[in-house]
Amino acid sequence: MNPLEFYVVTVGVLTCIYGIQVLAFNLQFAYAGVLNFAFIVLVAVGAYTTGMAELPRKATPTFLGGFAWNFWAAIGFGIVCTVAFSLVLGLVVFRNLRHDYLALALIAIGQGLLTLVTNDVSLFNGVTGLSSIPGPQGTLVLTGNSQLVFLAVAAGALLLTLAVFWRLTASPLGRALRAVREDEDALAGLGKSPIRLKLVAFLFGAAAAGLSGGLLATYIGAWNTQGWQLNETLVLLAAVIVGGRARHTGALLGTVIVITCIIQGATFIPAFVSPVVLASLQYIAVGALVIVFVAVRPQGLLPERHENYRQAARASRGLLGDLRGPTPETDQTASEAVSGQLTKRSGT
Amino acid sequence: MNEAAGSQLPEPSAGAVALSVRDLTCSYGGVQAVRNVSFDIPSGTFVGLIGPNGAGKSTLIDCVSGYNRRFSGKVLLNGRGIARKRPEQIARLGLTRGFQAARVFREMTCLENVAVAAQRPRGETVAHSLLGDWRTEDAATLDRAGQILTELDLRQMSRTYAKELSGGQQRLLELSRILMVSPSVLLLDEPFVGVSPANRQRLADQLRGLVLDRGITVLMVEHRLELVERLCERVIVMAEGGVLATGTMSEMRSRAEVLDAYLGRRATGDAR
Repeated sequence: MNPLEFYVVTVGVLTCIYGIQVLAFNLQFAYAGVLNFAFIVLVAVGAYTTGMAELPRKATPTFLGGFAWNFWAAIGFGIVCTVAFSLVLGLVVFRNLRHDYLALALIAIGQGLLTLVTNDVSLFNGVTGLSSIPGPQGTLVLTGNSQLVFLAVAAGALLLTLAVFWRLTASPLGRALRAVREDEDALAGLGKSPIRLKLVAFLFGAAAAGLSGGLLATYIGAWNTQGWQLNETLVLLAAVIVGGRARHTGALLGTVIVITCIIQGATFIPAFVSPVVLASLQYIAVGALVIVFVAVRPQGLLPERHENYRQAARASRGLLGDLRGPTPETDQTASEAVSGQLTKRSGT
Repeated sequence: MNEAAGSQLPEPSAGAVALSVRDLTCSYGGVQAVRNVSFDIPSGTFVGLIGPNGAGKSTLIDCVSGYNRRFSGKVLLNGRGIARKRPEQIARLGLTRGFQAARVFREMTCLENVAVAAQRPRGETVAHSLLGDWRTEDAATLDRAGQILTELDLRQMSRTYAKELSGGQQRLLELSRILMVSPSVLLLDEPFVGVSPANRQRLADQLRGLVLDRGITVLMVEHRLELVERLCERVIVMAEGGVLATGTMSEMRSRAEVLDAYLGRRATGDAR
């Protein structure tokens, strides 16, 4: 594999993994209205638990884990742990907090956990974190065949996530999720539980976050506290804003523009400034892009669609006729009625 | 004309009480917003809830519908206790409400606004949405939503975002959602606020139809007394958190304590 091929495959893998994250964040934020500033914590839970399950005991002598499971079992374990963690978190926060308070609480929880894991080395080895986490073939994902295998795994995971989320959001459940985003009090008055609906979106998003965390940790071969800073979540938010809210293709487009092109793409091109300056320039570019989109095109490049029901409507007899607007007969009847009234008036 | 409209409404049946409130008291800090309120509302009747600002009407509606659960007392819906249940639980038992400002799902189309109110669709469960065939059922839901929009003259707006509707149209859309839920008891908090005179007539007709055609019991908070007189068989007058009087609107006009608390002698004199 020459350097260009390596570059393309690496960017491809990272695009798939971050695509999963943006889809998950989009489900929670843009569909269900949960502005989850602790999203990256869910990714971290998936990464740490996958790593601790996959690494052998000798690699984790003083901290949690060391189960020496294979890649697939470890990824599954990471997803289950992330969903379990999110269930507890969701039940606590959704019962007591809403809107801005919920977002602020999630920031605080995320930062608190980051501080805890950073300072308590008995959990996940503190700042150093986990290292030498093997990939699907039981070895570190370095070059050649292992890279291509991982690209296939990551692309498969992205397609699976997309299929599940599409199915979920195209159904009446998706409609209810968007309604809870709009006005949860009004929705409760219709007999729907906002907490249940938000929890559904939160847990599905958490499962995808856990999956992406596990993939990221095994692809890089390491995971530590630098990987789940608050700005990681803000980049996901930027991708959703740029691509288009509550639309899966919009989320993927936002991933390509914001994460692939600006964040990941620029990292691998030949250095023209120091890495520190480059990182700052990347975040400045993302911030500027968000400001431009919020001001000029707040709906994003691919706005939310309301066409998901066209297929269902087609199966419903007569409804499409209603949706298309007045039939010529109706117009004629209306105009006849008006002219009839005018005739009456002029007659009187 | 008003009397004729009122006489069309069904007489309360003595045995069937749709909504019963007993000794309901609700405080904000040291202030009792609602004090020992008790009343019964017979099934299939249209009852007005009137009173001056600060009388506790909206707080009472919030308590009964589950949006405020910090109160004491009993609330029975068709004989079943609903006090301190969550709004969605109460709605599933058959009581729903409208809000002072129309609460529509702004970034959703009118058709979606109504369709989302469908009760217990299988496609809203996780398993069925992922693995089941929800399209046939959903087609029927959309069909019914479309019919309701047609009934309320909103058919042309089916694919319009709710945020693009006028205040009166949003009220009608809110009412469309209620029709989709088809509750046994409906609480309305000033439903005519922000509605133009032209739409007011339509809305009043639709509200009257809820009782006459569908047998829904309605409790409506309203300040426009001419609308209350036209629509409601009985009124409950609240003042300073308590129930001052109950009866017909014409009876209320002759009650001195009601005149003092709410109607005002001058206004009554004008009306007479």
